[in-house]
Amino acid sequence: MPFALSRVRTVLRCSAHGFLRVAMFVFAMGFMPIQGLQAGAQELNLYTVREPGLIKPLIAAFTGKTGIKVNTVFMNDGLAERVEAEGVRSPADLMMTVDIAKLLEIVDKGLAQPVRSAALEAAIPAQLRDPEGRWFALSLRARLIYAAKTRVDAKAMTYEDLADPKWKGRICIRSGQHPYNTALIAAYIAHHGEAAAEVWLRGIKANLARKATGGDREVARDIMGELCDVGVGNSYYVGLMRSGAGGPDQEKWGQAIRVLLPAFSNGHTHVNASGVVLAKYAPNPAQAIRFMEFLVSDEGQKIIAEANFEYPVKAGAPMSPFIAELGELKPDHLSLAEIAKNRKAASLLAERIGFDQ
Amino acid sequence: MSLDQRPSQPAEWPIHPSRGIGAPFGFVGRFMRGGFSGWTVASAVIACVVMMPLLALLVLGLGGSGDLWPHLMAYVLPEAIGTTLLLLVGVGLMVTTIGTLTAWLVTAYDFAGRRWLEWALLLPLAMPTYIIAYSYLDLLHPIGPLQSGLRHLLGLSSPRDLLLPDIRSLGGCVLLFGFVLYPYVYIATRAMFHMQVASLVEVAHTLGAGRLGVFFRVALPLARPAIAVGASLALMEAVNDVGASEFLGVRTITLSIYTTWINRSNLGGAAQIALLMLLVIMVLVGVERYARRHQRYVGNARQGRRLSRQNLSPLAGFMAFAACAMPVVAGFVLPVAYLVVEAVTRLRLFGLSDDIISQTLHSVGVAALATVIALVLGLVLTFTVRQNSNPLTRLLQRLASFGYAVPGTVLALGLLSPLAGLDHGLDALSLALLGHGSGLFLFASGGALVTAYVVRFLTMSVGGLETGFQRIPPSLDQAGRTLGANPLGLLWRVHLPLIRPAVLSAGLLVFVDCMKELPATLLLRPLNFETLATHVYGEASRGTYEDGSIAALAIVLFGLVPVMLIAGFGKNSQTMPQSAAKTDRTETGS
Amino acid sequence: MRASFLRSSTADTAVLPDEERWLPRGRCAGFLVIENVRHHYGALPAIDNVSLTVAPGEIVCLLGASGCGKSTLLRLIAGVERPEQGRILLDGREVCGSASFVPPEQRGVGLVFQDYALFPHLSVAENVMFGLRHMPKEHARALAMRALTRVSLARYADDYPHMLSGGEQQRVALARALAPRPSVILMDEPFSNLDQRLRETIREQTIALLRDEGISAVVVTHDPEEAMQIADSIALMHAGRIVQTGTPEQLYNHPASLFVARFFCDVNEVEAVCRNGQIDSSLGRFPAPLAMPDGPCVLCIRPQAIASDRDGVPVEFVSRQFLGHDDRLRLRIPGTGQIIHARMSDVGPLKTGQVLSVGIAPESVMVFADEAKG
Repeated sequence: MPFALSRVRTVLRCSAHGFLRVAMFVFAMGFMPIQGLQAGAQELNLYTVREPGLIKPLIAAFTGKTGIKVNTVFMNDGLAERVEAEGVRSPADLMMTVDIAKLLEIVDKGLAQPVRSAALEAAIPAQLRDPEGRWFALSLRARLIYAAKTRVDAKAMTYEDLADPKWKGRICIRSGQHPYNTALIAAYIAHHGEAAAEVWLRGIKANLARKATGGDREVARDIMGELCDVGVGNSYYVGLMRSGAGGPDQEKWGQAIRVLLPAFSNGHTHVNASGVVLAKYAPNPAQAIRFMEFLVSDEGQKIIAEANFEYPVKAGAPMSPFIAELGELKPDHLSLAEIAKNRKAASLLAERIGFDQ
Repeated sequence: MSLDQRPSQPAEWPIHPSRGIGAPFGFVGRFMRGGFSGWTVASAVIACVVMMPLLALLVLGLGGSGDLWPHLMAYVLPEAIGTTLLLLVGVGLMVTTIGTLTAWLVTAYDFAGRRWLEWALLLPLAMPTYIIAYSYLDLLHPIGPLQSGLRHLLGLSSPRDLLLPDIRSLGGCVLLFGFVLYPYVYIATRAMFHMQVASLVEVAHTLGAGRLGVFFRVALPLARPAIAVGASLALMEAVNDVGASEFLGVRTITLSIYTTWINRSNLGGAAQIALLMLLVIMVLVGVERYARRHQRYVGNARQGRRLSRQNLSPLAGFMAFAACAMPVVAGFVLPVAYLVVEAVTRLRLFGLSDDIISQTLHSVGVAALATVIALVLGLVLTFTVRQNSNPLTRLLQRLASFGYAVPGTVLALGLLSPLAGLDHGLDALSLALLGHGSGLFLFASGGALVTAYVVRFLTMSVGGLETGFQRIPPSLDQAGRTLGANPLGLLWRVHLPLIRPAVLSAGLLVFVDCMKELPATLLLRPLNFETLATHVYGEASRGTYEDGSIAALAIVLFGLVPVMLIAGFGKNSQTMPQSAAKTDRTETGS
Repeated sequence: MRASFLRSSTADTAVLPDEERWLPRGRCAGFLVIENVRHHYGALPAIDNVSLTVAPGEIVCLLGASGCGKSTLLRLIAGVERPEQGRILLDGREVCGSASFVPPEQRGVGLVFQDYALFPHLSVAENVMFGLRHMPKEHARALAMRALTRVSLARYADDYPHMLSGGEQQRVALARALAPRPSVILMDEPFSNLDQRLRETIREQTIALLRDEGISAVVVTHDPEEAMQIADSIALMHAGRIVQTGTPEQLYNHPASLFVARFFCDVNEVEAVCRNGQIDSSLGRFPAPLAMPDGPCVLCIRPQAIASDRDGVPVEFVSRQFLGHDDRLRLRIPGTGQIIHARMSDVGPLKTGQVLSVGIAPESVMVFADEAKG
């Protein structure tokens, strides 16, 4: 017994030593990233809501071309709050978001600084950037309707049609509180007013086949699984699924749906934008502006279109064949800022009618 | 007559000195008994640091919430409160049932596969809730393997011919949470059952209680403090979860915090909801503690024999095996098998990303560092109470444990301004003293991240160490002190060797949870610092969840190692108090 | 294990030549003074104005019922608890007073617990060496081995506490407490966890050892017989106060109060009246002690003090209980109907209701003023 106990003790002591060593290593490692942050080096710091997988090819191309290193941190909720807290000492040069409302929130918090760049202004249509140069859209995604290939005959639909009682028990959609849907509802409010929007949203709610939850891909998957026949999803998911980039299963889901390019009754499709702002206290503004300009260059726009399956903002830039085949996009005339203004009303509306319940 | 009044009871310590009951003896006197020691001051400092985010939330909440509350009251709360309560009740029942039942089976009975199951039952601990939610949707979806297979077997062609309930529901959420969160209850109750004296069970049997009777009337009531500790951890994790419950369409109150903040930019309102929820949680925890204020299970230096396992008949043994294997399969084997299949597919298609190694190092590194710090701070807090247990030190210990009671995102948000404030101060100081600024040192070094982990998971460290300390009889402390050990010497020479198993299992719990943690990791990490969890999240939010399966598997694997270690040390922890307590029955008269 | 210990024990209790002692002589045994100490737990006064002196080499028993504060007093002396008022002096040094407080590790007292409090993670020798940190390890080990030899446990030095029997654990605890040469040793119910037969032996050995080494000791016990056997001086405690201090004979034969009398022996209490130096009771008339005021009083009579006496008072026989070398009789006093107990031998066969004549020696009657009753 004493022998066994002392052996246990030896083992424990050894593992304690090992633990110490690991802890020291961790300490050393934890402090390494500091080196990368000195201002003035040929580099820039990017805070992004856009997923790393989508950013990487852009950065690789940019760094290859200019030699400027891009440090990134990918985050989601709280990006604006973090930069706000970091204040004048924030290392952030650029902030990228995938939802126009978030972009405008950053601007509203006074965290952006205006940029004057002929290249940016030439590439981006006026309604897709701030007149004062504080924000710039980089790419667009359209809110589409996915329909079951085998079970739905309709070749065209409007957003208004989604409330038609003929779809009772046949519609799938993600949460009404997801920014993509909030923006769609906000656009509806802008077009038709809040009262009409409420009637419409209640109509959709009554048509739901399942709870409003999951992601846009789940809409396609549920259509394939015959849980529903019609759903709402973003354009780039179509490319992602059908290209096989998401794996063989998703390719099948993508094949199970027919994609309708819907429109409001005015004939225009709701779009949301990914965009970028230059941080107010950016330590490397020159490098940051070069990156912004690269993002709207032919090369940058091509990568965005190919890797992300998004609509480029630059006129004439090529799009992915998976997106091109969906038909010609006629983006809504509404300014993005107008939509963003209705965001709060849209979110409250969805809660009021219990859209997610 | 006086003849019956002679003293016959053996004298004992009347009451634990530091836990004197009775009427208040003056507020200050009660609060300060024993005076302020350096330990108390250290505890106070820790509690203050941990409370920083709470203060930040208070400041935010005081900023006002506009017209939020009438709207919430009218449209959101009635449903959300109902959903939240159902979720809590459901998960609570599940984790308590699975946790205590399996713990009792592996402690009280011997059956084929018991040794294996005893540690396998810990495995679901390594499974993050968001991963299990994604996995199960894939597995159980109408076009997933299970339903496709069933249809194939039954000769059905359309998914509509076989309508099974959707996992994306409150029921599904309860099931999934139950299967991954029960180990918190299992760990706590198993330790408690191991401490029980055999005579209690034997007495119950002789009083006519059957196997079930012994479980329900003896084991369960005795394990109540352990159930409370384990279940409260599980429930806090369930109620504060955002990723999985949102994905499964379960709209809890936590999600309304989220919507209020994210979609309506009403940070003040979000902070108010979060604080209100925290208050409710604190009240519930307080009520529970108050309800069992008289139950105390202090270890004695000399105790009776421990429970020895009874053999079961082959049929009963198989049933016990099945009951214990079910949660392991549901909470671990199935989702891991799914992850492995996906990972293999990905590897074949896209190869192994180089980043996975650096992500793993980052995850393990910050988790390990946070674990060490959480253990040291937890030790300071619990040892302070051990030294000088008064309302003040106990309050400090409780306060330092609040981080787990708020959603991770809210905690991270609350940490932003205090940490940034510290960083600005550091920078100014360094500029004044050294001539060049330090920049945002905490954010850039990962210090912010480690702080968040420590604040969030300190409660596990404190809870684990507290249990460890409770098993050491106070007489050992007094013996050590009179033999010349000062408090630190006592901690080093007596307490640490005795609570080592508790230290290790507390540390491993913290480590596993740090590995799984997502919201604070996302928000507070430095540039170019991906971890396994952020990678999985990045892939999931891009809609390519399966691409994250390798990283998800890595989280599970690295979570697995500590879980196995817990299992190993759990065995030591059984022998430790037992060796402290075994006595020769022929000689103990009492 | 126990058998072998019992065999070797007789040799151990014999006084050993000086070189066999593990504690080199030369240091004086401790001198402990407690002055007006007070302590509370919550609102309950645990120790209420207690003063006590332990002379060098003296063994003092703190005697009292459960919860009377005797263990608390021990903890105050040891320094693991801090009193709210009063002074404690060890060897003339104030270890605890209004301004000073010496922590337990610097006091040089040894403490032996009811549960022995052996460190389960340390071997027997390591337990004994725990308090021997200030010296080289070999030296400490040698001292520990001598201490263990003294309690005849040297052969278990490398075993762990749980492998020993209760009696052996008790002796390890003693060796551990004595090894650092404390000026005073404090023992809290050290024998109460042992069974009856073993208790006697271990108690004798322990006390012999303490006396042999000339160590001052404070022993807490609830058992008056134990206290009388081992103590030079007994301090009887009740409700946080010391009610009487003195030699065992003083406390037994001259209890200061009814409480003390009751504590040491079952007594018969008979109401009586004191008038003009005489006490009248249903059991006869006795001379009153000096300074006894007139008025109601209580007579305290031990069952052993009652004997057959042809010239005594008549009592009715009720029942008897055979106790071995004598009988316990229940007797009824005819006038009041009160039942008293008597211990007698050589009484022949008795019938219920039969009248006996018993007498009580006046010197064995204890008289207390009536307000002491209760």
